[in-house]
Amino acid sequence: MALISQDRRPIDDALRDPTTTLLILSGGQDSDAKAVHDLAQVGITEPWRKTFLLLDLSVLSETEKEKWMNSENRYAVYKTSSDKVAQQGPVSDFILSSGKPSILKIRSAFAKGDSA
Amino acid sequence: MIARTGLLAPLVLLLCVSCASKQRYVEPKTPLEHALFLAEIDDRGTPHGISSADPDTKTVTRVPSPAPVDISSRIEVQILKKQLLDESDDQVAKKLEVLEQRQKALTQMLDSLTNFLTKRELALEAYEETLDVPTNVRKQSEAFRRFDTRRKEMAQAESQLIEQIEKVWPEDHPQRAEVEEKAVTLTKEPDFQQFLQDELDHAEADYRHLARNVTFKLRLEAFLRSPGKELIPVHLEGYDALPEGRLERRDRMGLVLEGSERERFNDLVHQANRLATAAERVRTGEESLNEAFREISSTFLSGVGGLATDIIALSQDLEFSRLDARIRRTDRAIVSFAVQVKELLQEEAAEAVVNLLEQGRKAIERLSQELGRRTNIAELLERVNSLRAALEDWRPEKLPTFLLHVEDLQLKLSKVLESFPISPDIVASLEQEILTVLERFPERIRVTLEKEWDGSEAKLVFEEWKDLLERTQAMVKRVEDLRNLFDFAPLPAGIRVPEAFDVALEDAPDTFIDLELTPRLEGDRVNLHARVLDGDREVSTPYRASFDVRRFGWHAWMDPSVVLAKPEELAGAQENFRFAPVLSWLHTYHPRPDETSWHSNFWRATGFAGGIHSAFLNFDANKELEIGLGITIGLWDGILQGGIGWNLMADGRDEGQTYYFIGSSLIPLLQALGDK
Repeated sequence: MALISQDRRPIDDALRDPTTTLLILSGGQDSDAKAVHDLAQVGITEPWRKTFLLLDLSVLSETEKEKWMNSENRYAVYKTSSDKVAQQGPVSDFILSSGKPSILKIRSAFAKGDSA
Repeated sequence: MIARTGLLAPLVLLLCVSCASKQRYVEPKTPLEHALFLAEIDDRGTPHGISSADPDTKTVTRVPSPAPVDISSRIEVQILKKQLLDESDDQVAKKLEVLEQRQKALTQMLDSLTNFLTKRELALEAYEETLDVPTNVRKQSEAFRRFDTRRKEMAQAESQLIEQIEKVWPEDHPQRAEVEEKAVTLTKEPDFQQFLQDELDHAEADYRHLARNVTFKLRLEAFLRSPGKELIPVHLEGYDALPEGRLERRDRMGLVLEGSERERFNDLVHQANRLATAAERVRTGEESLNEAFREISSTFLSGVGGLATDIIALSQDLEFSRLDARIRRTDRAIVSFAVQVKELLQEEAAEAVVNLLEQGRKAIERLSQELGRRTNIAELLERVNSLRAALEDWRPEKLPTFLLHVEDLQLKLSKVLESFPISPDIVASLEQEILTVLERFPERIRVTLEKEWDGSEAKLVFEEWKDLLERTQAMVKRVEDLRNLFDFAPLPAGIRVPEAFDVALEDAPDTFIDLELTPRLEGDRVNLHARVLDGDREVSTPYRASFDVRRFGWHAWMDPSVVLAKPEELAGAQENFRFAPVLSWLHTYHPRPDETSWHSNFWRATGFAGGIHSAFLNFDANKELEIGLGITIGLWDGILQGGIGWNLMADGRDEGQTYYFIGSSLIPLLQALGDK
């Protein structure tokens, strides 16, 4: 789980491990994506589930951008072993009407990733 | 001539505005609306359907909103108990079913949570085993295959659990935030499990309570509303401890006037004289139409002007920065008082006082928050100012703009009344609390405290808060009064008759509103509210019905009016028309809404009235008093009047012995202007 600005090694490590299910988010330091990332850090305790917040999308290759996300404030749930994106969309999918991120929605997304 | 037309045109238009038709009934929808049957019994004992066209069948097909009732009638309120009890039983059954479903859902959720946690444990164990295999060959290992299977099983259990949670607590559920907070530690036993268990226990307890102890109660309250006057609670036998009320009959012949009717008549006669004098000054060129109009509508104008000034002053005081400064000053004053008290008293007593003042501080913060919720005030001010400007520079051609302002103001006033949640008793109850606590202290301490309090900054600040609250409440009241001049604003939801008590549904008696025991006038409105309660909690949509007080059948009334009188012959006069006040005794017939014969339609369409009059003429400037007697014919309840009469003070035909007139009744005019 990490914030990625330039150094993408933590993501690469996670991608190499076939047990990993990733929640990759894109957004700035004050964005909803950051709030979702922070909540996932506290509430997701399964060691194979990893969350990354991409502060700068330029760390992604063109293929990854096409597969996961091409703009800010989006997310993708990706299972390494099956090389499948189980769920993706705007970060607002995780935000409740109160403006707060939902741990239940984050868990639900990871569950889809694990099942993919 | 232009001046005359100018004065009459706005009168007729304003009268048309004041006579706009209103909705009479709405369809019953809620259980209470189906269970309250209303019938009007007129002064001859004849029943007339309000709830349905046929009062014998006792079927509720409509709710008055507002329905016209006769000024001397009695409104019977019959409680269709079987229907109400069946409905309440249905409600209990529905609630029990909801609680049962909730218990079932929570039990399933607890099972799903256990299943998820077990599957998770297995997945975690399997994951640990994969760590012994190097990453590059991990995917091909048996350990990984086992882990992936366990992980999928866990994910399935997790999805099932989340689906169940989201079904009970969807996104818009008030408890969702709490659930989310608890779910952060979903995997940490026993946190979430305990939360679900507590919810299940509550649901079971609610179920047991509802199944055993439900006794619904009915509360009925009634109010009389006269434009510009205080709301009057009306007695409902069996539902309140109010006195029965003083008998005020309304004479069908309009000759014997009692109570509020006499007061209004005297006022109208006075206004007729004022208006006729002002109009006559316009005719003779002594005064402009603008000045005359301002004079006759002075009450309304000053009402609007005063309101605007109050709103400006108050909105400045309610500015956030001022409220904030006031709170900080209150805080400082309270702390300083507490320090003084501590120095003077033993520690124990001083602690009690400090605690009390702490409560005071909290109450004032709460008050400040309520006062700060002043949405719509700026808009309201803008509209009131436009209206004031239109009135201050009054010209007849401005009438359409004026009417638009009035209509807009009416809407704005309604919004302000809805969005101004003032709790009038915050400061009053705090004051009472302080006095009660003071009484508990020994005499010596009390004297010291009172002495300190009297000279303290805290008391001064406290008085300022009281003043601010009172001013705010007074403004809300004035807004309400002004709103009521155009039409009756909906009564606030929290309005209560303090003397009302709750009656068990099984024992709820039929009751009635006897209008003859109220100071009602034609044009007033009666509101009836009903609620079904479980303790203090409302268990159904409140019932609200309203009735407009009218006169039905043959009747007569004394009608003060302003007319243009023309003598048939007047020697040496250039201009024959003169304004004069006239008092007519007019007779008419008002058909009930359900009367459909051709003659009922004739009366309804024409509002025809006829009778005799006495006029106060001024044909001869040398005579101090000129009285005329004659016949008046009126249309639309006297809005338009014409007549012929004989001047009793004239010595010959050329002194205006015979005269004709055309004019208008003052009652609807003054209702429209608000000068009552």
